[in-house]
Amino acid sequence: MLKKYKELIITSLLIVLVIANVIFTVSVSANGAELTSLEKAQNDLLAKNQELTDKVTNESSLSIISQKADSLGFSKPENIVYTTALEPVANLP
Amino acid sequence: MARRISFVSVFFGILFLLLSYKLFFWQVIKGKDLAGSAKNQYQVGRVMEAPRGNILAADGSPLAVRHDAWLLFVEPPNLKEKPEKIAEKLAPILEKEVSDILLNLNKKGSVWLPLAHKVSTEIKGNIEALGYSGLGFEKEEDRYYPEASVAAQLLGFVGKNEEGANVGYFGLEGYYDLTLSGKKGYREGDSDAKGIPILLGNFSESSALRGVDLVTTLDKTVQITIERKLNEGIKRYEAQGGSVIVMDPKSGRILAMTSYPSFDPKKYYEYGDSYFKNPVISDTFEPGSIFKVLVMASALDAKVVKPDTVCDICSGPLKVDKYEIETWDSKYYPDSTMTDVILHSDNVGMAYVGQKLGADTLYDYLEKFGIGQETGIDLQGEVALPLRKKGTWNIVDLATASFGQGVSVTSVEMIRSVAAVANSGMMPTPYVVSAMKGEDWQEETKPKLERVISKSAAEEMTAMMVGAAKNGESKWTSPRGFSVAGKTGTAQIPIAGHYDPKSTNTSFIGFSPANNPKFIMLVTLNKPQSSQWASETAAPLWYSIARDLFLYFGIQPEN
Repeated sequence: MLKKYKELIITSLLIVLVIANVIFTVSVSANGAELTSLEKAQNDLLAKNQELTDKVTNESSLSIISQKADSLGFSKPENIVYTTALEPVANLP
Repeated sequence: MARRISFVSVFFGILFLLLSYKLFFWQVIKGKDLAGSAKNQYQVGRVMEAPRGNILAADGSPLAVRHDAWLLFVEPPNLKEKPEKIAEKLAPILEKEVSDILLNLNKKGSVWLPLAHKVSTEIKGNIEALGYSGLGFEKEEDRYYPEASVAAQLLGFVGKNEEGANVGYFGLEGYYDLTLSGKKGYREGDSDAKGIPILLGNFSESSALRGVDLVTTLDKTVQITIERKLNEGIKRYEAQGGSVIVMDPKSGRILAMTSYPSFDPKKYYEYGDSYFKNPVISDTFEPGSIFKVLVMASALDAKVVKPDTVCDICSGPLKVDKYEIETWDSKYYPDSTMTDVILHSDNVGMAYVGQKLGADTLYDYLEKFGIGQETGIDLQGEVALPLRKKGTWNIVDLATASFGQGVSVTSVEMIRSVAAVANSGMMPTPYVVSAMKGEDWQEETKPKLERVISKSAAEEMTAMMVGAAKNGESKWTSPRGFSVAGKTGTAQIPIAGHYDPKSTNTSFIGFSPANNPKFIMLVTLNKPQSSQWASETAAPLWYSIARDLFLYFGIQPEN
């Protein structure tokens, strides 16, 4: 009787282990696919980030800003007059 | 019966031997190859590129940055459209000739050919929209220059070596190539038939190390200003070329540096090799009168003369051996003081100073000023012409060196040595990179300073240069009220053992404010045609740039 129980327990254990192994393998292989998809998403985001960085770099170029400033009517200062600070004549109450 | 059994036994014996041989062949002899082929089917290896470091201006804004680009390739066996049709569509997009594209599309026997390098993401999108099969893209790195060709010779460029790998050439790209390049990584692991990684299998990875970013000392506003002004000056004075360098004399930080002609680093392949070298560090020239600053400063430091020492041989031309030394304008000033000698840029007066110093002492001082030696600036391509050996100078060599003939310097060598005068006798080592930035670290460059002359000698020399700027031959162009110490230099050009009678190199070196300088600047013009004199070419260009720098640095008139 005891021998029969032992066989049953071992068989059940084996079945459980086989099922666990199958589940684990399936889950890990799905993780591989998920990893690939995450890597692709990361690459896409990096590419987008690079694209935006390029855009910011381009727009913040001093040459471009200078052109825009010219078109908006800004001009370089000319005929600058330097004034000296005058000594106060009567600064006491 | 027994015969039959023997026959069958022999048959099976031979069969067994044959099978054993085959098994031995495949498992032992070919075993390694087959294992390799099998491994290739389930193992995937991938090189992970290391992004090249960026080059930034002093304010952190980009000067040369990494940028995604694409290699357009063709797989001729997979083309479904006619090559002529594809070439006609691609030519305007790639800005190439139809015939050039067709040449690749029609190449027989090829399975993969590159069609165009460094294609932008936008153009890639346009080509993909055409929907041609047999065309594909591979990612590759490109350099992007937001300020176009600004500081091109200082930055250098990224080209390809013989193996097709990116390599930096000239300037910062060349000098810091290893630092900028980083280190490629590699990943290897098991994968299934679709290329999806098997996480339970073998996996190994060595991460890529991205290139280090360089933070330079360059001030973009100053850089753009000097480039614009130099181009204007070249046209106005009809010069063949020219250079401008602006430095902080207290630290040696290069604020801006440019030369004409220059090149576009994005399209470096359209220019000849002669455009790539940076004349500021790679071309030597006879400095002429700007060299007088160093000789006079040496004499003041050695205490062989004082500012009020009277030259007793300045009343006329000076005969030295078989040569006669004259002043540049054939005017002579008897009883000139040393201040007057600098003010009038008097060659005879300088020969007098040279005689007072003596050849060996002058040599020692010039060596201390770094003349004839590389400055150690962190740019690829610096050269220096050594001085004539000590002890071999004759009286003519001494006399001519005293007013800047018979010695050769680079612009960077010259500005470094005069910076010692501007900086109370302490000579800085010029540098361009102020910091290197990694992913989680930063290393700052510390300025290097070395005492060359005493503080008092530097102050006396500065006062002489202030007088020269205010009352010398270039005074007409000097803006009133601003404190400038400066000196003009008009140098003859040596050709085939004599001096070219028709052309000169003109220069002006100066710093401002004289007593606490915010910048020192050297302007040189090669063979200006509008005038052969520095006071009418290099000096007005120097002041034209300085007027903008006064505003930018907040330098105000003295009174």
